[in-house]
Amino acid sequence: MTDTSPDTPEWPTAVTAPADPPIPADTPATAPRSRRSGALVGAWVVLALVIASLIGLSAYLYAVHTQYVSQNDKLRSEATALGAQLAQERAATGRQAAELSTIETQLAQAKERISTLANDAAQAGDDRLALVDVAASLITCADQRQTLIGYLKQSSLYTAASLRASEAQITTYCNGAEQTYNQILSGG
Amino acid sequence: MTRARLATRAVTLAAASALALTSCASLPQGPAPLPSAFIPQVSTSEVAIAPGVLAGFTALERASMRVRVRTCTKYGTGSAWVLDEHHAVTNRHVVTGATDIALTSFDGHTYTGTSAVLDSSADLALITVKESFPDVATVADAEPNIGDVLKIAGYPEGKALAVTEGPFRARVDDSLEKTKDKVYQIEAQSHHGNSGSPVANADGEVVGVLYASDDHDVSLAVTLPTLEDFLNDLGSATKVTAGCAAQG
Repeated sequence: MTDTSPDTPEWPTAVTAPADPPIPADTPATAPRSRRSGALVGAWVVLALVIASLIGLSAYLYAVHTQYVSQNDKLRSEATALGAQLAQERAATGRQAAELSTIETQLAQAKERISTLANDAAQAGDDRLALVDVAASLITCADQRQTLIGYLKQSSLYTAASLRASEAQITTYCNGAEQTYNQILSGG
Repeated sequence: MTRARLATRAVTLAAASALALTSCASLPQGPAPLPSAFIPQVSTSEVAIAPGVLAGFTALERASMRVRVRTCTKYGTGSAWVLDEHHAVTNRHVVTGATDIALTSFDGHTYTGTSAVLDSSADLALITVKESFPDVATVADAEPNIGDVLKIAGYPEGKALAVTEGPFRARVDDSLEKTKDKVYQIEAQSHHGNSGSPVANADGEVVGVLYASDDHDVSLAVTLPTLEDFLNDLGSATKVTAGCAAQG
């Protein structure tokens, strides 16, 4: 029986030992059996190696799986903690936003109040300055009228025309001061 | 073909397949180590209050002053802005003939003017005060561009501080002061008492000084170059001191 299969090489000794005596008639049946036995052993060895490799591979994959599971647990725990923290932060942010809105409103009111008070103070300063001036004018008016009274007490020393002119001048001045005073009182 | 040969071939094929599988396929790697922290560090400098705002008032508002003037014959009000610790800028026409100058800040603090320097051509004046100003305005480095929104902070009618704003429309001839300098035309409302108000850009930097307006919501302001010329050449300006006798 011959085998032409390319993956089953010929037995090399049949070619390299032509001088050997002829093989007995029953020998050809023993050689193929031996080859089959050897191939079977080789196959089992390969199978064993494959199984060993698969066991190793499985062990490796199990270790990787364990690492992923462990990390997943940590991540899940971390995510839960962060989620709780985020919820608290959001609640706090919401409260702070509400407080900030209130503070902004209060700040705007305070700003308005400051401006109003500053304006009141400035207007009061204006009024005070005007009142000081009009008070000075009224004092001058009183002094001039006192002087005019002195003139009138010694009317014989002055002409009637000059006394009238002086009186008219003082009256005009005093009327002006009085008018200014009334304007200030009326807010004009 | 015998059963043994078939088994041999099957095992060989399985072995070859297993080898191919293990050699060609990429094995999954273990997970990368977890970071030490999942929340990044954020610099506190990223959380900042709007620049220049204090107690609800901007730097421009804090540097704006109300001016009260008494001359020998009347009273008047205007606006000004703080240039440095002891000086404020206003319009010349606000302080001309003044015998008494008082400045009031946004919060009611009063400062006493001791003297003033008047520009000979532009409507600008520099007031010196006895006390120290706590807030100072910033003068811009560059002129505004046409279309920029400008702010005017002053005391219209001599009353409370108010800020208006409007776009910068054009550079026009100065029809009031008869100078060669151009002035800024701003589409914004202003009133008596606003004279001397700082005109500021979006950053609150002073780019001009308001000096006039019409009845159509148009305000006119002295330009930044004119202001810079005035401040750089104060020696040639006219100095005046309080007192009716000092007036010509």
